Amino acid sequence: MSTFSPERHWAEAFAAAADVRAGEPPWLEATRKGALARFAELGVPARKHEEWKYTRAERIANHPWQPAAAASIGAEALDELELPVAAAPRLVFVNGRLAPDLSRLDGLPPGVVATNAGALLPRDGAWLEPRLDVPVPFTDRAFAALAVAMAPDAAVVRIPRDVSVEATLWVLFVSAPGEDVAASPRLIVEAEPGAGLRLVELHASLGASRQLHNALTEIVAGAAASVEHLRLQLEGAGTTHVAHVHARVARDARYASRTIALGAELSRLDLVVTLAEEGAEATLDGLYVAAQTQHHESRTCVDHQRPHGTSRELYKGVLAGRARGVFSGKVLVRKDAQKSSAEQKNENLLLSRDAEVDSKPQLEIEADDVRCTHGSTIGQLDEDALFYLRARGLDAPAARALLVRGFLGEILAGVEDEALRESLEARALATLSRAGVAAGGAP
Amino acid sequence: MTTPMLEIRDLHVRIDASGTGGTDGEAILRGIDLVLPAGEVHAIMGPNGSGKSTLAHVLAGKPGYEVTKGEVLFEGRDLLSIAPEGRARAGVFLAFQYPVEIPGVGNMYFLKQAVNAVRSHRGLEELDAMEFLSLAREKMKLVEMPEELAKRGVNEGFSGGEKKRNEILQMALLDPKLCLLDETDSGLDIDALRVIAGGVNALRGPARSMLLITHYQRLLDYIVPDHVHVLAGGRIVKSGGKELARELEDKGYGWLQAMRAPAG
Repeated sequence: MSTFSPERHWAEAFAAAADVRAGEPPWLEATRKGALARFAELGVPARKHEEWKYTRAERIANHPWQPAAAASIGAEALDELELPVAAAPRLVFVNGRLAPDLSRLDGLPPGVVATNAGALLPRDGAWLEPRLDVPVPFTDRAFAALAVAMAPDAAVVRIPRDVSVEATLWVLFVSAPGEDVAASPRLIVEAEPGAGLRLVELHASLGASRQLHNALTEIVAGAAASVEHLRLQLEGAGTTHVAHVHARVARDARYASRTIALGAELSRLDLVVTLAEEGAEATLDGLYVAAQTQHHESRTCVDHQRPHGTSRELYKGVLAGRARGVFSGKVLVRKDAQKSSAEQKNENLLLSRDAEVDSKPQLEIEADDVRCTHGSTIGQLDEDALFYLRARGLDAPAARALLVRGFLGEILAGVEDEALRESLEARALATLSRAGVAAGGAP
Repeated sequence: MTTPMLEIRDLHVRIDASGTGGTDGEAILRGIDLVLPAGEVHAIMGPNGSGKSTLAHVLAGKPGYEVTKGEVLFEGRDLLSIAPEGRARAGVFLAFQYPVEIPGVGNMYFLKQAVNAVRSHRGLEELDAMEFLSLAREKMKLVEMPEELAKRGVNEGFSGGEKKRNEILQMALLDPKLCLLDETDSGLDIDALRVIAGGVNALRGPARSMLLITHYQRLLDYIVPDHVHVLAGGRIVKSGGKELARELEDKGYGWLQAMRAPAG
């Protein structure tokens, strides 16, 4: 029996990191301590826990991770990411802390807040206080509680009423190299009523150190607001990425989520979208690509709480090598949510015999006047399509790559920035070709 | 004597189920002999199950068939040893009976890939986006294909007629020497049939041969063949001029059953 106790380990790590929290108001210390106690109380989920049936929480938690210390990286490190961020307004966080020299915010409309929680605490503490606590849907999630306790700071984006931000705002969470460190990147976004925001949340590691990134994001789309949220998980090969994302969508607001997970050795996304008021609308698009021994789990929950809500969800996965993919998608339509419409689809492409996928759609409908559909597919490249392409002169590897591109394309097409879209496609294909698949290693 | 475009000698084919774990099927083609000279259009007619589509598939290189005997020469060279893409690049084109839908792969992107694969094989420079677009626009007129269809995924949500137009568009773009048209008339209304036949006729020429595979004589009113062959029970049981198609239309296929040689 292992003598390592994650609860004790993190209690000690929390105590040792008191200096990181120096200067924080007493209510925040109380919030953090409450979250840490919650973590200890919940414990690391055991395998029999339904939510953790496919990804072993012990594999993540039973390791003496050390909280990531402050680190600085050069501007050239951003170029290494090979993403079109040069011209974009952006907040850059390194090891969970704002890097002001790498961030640039010129060109944002007046009144827009894009900063770190630490900078806001002196003047906006009352606004921050409820937002820095564990988001409601995650009060029973151990890792979300741990993130609240340990996150050294948080990125905060706040768009004032009726302001639409033209440019796409990037929030980059980058971790510096370092073995066995744990970072807790945190993001808080609020689009006030009538506001509009397009946001890219990026998680990336510099290098391939063994690290834990325990991310927590909360987004609020106020009445008639519109938030487009592209979440990119492009972590390094040594990273374990655990993420909790919650979006609360108010009356007649629209939230468009697109999550793309191409990196990390083990990653797990827990996305909860609450359609909290009448006429709220959400789209959830997702893509996970895994090869070699990568493991990726996507858990989504769309919670229709009030009438006339609409949700549409499409998650697609490509698994190669000995990779494992898990999709678990719940659609919950509460008693009050009459005239709701919900669509959910999960499609998986297996490119090798040893790849594996579990797909688990769930509908829980308590209202009687609703329209809900769901479906799930797991398949291989279509032999007839392969022959069709070859009969037009494409060789077998090119034909396979084209079919994979087509499969990815349905999700990537929604990435408006062409340079970004191409970069993501190239990364996905590179991941697969390293496994010898899209490049044509398999017969 | 000049080398024919296509020469099929005593071709025997059966289903190859080895890849699927099933047992190998019975022979479908039982000794086909056919000579298709350059510039000619031949029709292969026959009842359902006679092996017409199998012949088209085998000529294009579709996996799942085993040639147990015989050979096929394309411009005098062995065709059967070449991979499907190699055949396409060398100038063999199969217009599919059931063109495959490939969502997510843009039709134009796919067509450009195909054209450039074939061009580079032929030692021609690859077309850039602009050059390809103008070529594609010109050829789309030939089959009266709306521009809107070019923007969709390959055959994605196309009607039956639109898919067939897309096949003939590909044929026009790839500039093949040997065209195999597998039941190109199936599922077409009369207007679509006219348009498609017009496209095919425009592509006839002294350096191009065509094999029209069809169940019905109707197509042959619009694309008039030089010769007609009747396939039954895996063999060509009768060959003749274009008037043979009319005879089949009047009499059906039944009278030919008597001419079937006993299965070997």
